[in-house]
Amino acid sequence: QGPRAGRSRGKVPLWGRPVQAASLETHPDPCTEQLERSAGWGAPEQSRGLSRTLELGIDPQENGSCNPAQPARGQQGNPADDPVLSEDGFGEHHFYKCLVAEVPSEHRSRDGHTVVGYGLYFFTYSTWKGRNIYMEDLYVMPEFRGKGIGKKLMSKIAEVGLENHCTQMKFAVLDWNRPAIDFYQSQGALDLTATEGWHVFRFESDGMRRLAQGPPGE
Amino acid sequence: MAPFHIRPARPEDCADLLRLIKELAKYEDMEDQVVLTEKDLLEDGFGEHPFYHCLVAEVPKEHWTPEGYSIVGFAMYYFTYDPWIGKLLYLEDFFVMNEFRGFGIGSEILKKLSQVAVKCRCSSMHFLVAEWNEPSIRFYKRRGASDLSSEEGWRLFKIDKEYLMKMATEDRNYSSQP
Repeated sequence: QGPRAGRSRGKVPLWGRPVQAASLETHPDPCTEQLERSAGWGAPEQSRGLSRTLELGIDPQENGSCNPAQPARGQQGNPADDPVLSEDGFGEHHFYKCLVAEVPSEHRSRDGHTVVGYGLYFFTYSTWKGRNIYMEDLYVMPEFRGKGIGKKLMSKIAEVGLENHCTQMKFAVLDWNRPAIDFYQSQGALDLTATEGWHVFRFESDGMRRLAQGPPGE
Repeated sequence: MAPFHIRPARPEDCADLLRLIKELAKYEDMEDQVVLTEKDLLEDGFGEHPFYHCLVAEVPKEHWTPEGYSIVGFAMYYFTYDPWIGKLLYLEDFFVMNEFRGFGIGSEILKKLSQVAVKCRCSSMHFLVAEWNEPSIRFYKRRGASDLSSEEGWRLFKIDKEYLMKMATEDRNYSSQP
């Protein structure tokens, strides 16, 4: 879980449009900048050549909030939503869930965005412990880091997990990301790769197709 | 080769699922870590919102174990998500009883799982393997799997419930400050 096929270290999502939002909580978190790198988003200037415009329709809120993302709604002069993300997150079966961090319009970004961060998660299962919550992505726009937004997103995901009777939260971090590792460990996280020797394995599409079509056995 | 067939698990299989889960945990020297019950498996796998799916390997009566078990292997999986590439199939547990290995049961289960993944338009299949588990590592690598922890440096982390509660509570304390 978590690791992605040949991912480059970072992509910058383009946020759809300015919307009304609310006041920021401001308690400094020096680890926030490094936190975002834990999802594999190292150098923002690098790109896979994919530019995903993620448009989240958000109702105006009076107070700083981490809100559930809503399906994109048509807004005048804005690009179309991403159909895959839309279907997979808001269709008949939710393959992921998302919280967004939004700010009041007077705190909007230089480009006019008020959705400034997100946390993407889903539910998984452990045959030992039962329900788990998995934090797949955690991201805050660079100009909004150091304000505790990343920490708050993570706390909200923890809260969702507890409300749904999850006994653990899991996530993946790259081994070079020492600041993020230090932060997560300060929150009580345990490195299962280091302590229990668990390695993440993957079959990519071609490998899966060969398995699906090929004969069983050696 | 012992005849067998692979099928989706049914609610009445939960006792066998738990038995095999414990056997796998014992193989990994973690038997005392299994706190899940049959009731949990039933609610979480066959309720209104399944948290997991299972395939089981069943053998005919003439090949039942001495204790009378017909279910001799299982795989538990669910769907996860990568915002860059979409749906993934995540293989949580995969086990064949010791005395039934070498007959192609594991390979057939993996083949069926791959068919599910392709049918559900999953971009890839992910799973964990303990670094000391050389037979399993060889099994998967022979079939084209990559070790992302070794190759890309990914580490899996967990946060247990007591720390989740602390995190959630601290957040509320911050929120209440002026």
